[in-house]
Amino acid sequence: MNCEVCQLKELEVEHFEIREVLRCILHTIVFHRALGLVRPKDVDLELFEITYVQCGDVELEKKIDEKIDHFISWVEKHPNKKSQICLSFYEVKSKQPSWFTNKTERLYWEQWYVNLNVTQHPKHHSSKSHHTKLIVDPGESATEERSCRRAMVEASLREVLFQIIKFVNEKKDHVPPISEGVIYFPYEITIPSSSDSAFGMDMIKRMLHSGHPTMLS
Amino acid sequence: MASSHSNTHIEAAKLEQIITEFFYKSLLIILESRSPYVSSRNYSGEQIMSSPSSSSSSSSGVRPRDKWFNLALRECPSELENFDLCRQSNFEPVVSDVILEQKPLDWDPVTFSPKSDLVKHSSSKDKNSFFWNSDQEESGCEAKGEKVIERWFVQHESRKGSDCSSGSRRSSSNNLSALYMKLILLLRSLYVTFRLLPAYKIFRDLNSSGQIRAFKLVPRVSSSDEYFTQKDEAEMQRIWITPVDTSCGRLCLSVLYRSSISDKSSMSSTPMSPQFIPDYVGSPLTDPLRRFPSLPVSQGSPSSLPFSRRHSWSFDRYKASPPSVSLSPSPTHSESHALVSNPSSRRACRHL
Repeated sequence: MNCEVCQLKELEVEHFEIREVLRCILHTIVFHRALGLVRPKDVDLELFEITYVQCGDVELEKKIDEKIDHFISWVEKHPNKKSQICLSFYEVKSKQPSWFTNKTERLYWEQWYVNLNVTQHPKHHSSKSHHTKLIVDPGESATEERSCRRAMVEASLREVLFQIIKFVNEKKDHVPPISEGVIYFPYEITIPSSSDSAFGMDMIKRMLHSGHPTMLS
Repeated sequence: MASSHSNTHIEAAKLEQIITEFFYKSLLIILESRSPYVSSRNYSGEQIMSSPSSSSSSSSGVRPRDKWFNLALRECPSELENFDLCRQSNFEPVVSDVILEQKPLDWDPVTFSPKSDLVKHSSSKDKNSFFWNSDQEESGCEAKGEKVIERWFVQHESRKGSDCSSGSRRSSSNNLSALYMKLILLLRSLYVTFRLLPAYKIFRDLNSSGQIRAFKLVPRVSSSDEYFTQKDEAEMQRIWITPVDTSCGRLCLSVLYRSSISDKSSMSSTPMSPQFIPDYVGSPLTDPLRRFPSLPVSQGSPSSLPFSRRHSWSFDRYKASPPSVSLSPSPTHSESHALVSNPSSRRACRHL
């Protein structure tokens, strides 16, 4: 089975924006892959004039938030770095058990790469309501600049959401049928681990598993 | 042989039902996303996680029609329930307008009666009465500011020589399952897209403030570009969502929308009346430009539009992108909007 890969446009965000941006993107993707019966839930972002949609599963929301927390922890240890989060969907297939392999394997059929460039050190700006030594500037130009920057991030985030919608609608043939009683496909969210090399190894393993020739385009 | 023939007809009937329900669900999403009284935003019902195959809808709170495309929305207004999409054997395009209406400058908030005003417009059968254009004087709505801020098109383009009702070998069970899954995806995207367009902010402000402003929805069976001035056309942008092929054609969704609604020069700061069109449309056979009703609302306290906030929408952002795998829809219906076939339009266009 082909594994379709979508590299989302890179977003330049500040530390305090990570949570909202990731929630928005990950839930939008999962909503398009929650093909079982859902009652959609609209969520308004606080930092941006964007409303995204969740499929309303509490467990799912919790798992996504946990992954985002892990990612934020990683960012705090690796400041001012570009990073990538991978949301993968897979099918579980059984295979012949052997001494070294499990009875089941995951066949990845879709991977989404969320690319973030976190531009500000987390210690300098832990909350949207706090002003730091670097940023405190009561001048109107600073406020205008921040407002302008915020509008640009919002526009970029909106572009990413449209990119998701476009990908979902252009490529449909690879999506497997959803099982009875299942709300959403099995998924996996991979974040950079404490060492970059381990993250890279995870990606390589997934590439070999899915048979996709390239990871980054 | 007879069995094969009847199976073919059963499959064809299923296909027709799927397409009909698709139209219905699309319309419900439109209403749900632009009408405060239909919206699920303030609906605090429990999340429904039951299986689509659950036969006991009452125990889970899932209505039978919710299960279509696995998208449970708020209870549908009775007008939509009564709207008989099935009579459109050719699946005529459904065009739904979202209109932003402004009260006249000399409006008296105490004595103004929106319902009577709307009834007057409906009974006059003036095609242009609900639009902001240079023909306002002729339409009799000189004192009323109205602007179409979105126009949604839902249509099934039939393939030449194909008829969904006659049955086709292509309508096999597997094909129907695949089609159904693709339509689930399409409707998910439609739902999300509604929340990304500029009009949603206005709709959201209506819900959050509890005040009802002039916001009405006018779905139509067909439309033509005579309702838009050239200036209006130039201001609007288009989004095409990749169509889904059926055995006898394809289902298409697109929208024309204004990227910037905060046009203070065309909208005064006086309060807007809460108005919805109360009367339901008649049969399409009697009135080709029939309209759906909006929902009756009570007047809320007037307030000005919150247009002062900087937002990320701008005309230049959405330049025409390279076409996706989807083709530009070529409506087969004779009264379909000419905007689709206007190649000279400078409008920015996005394919999803």
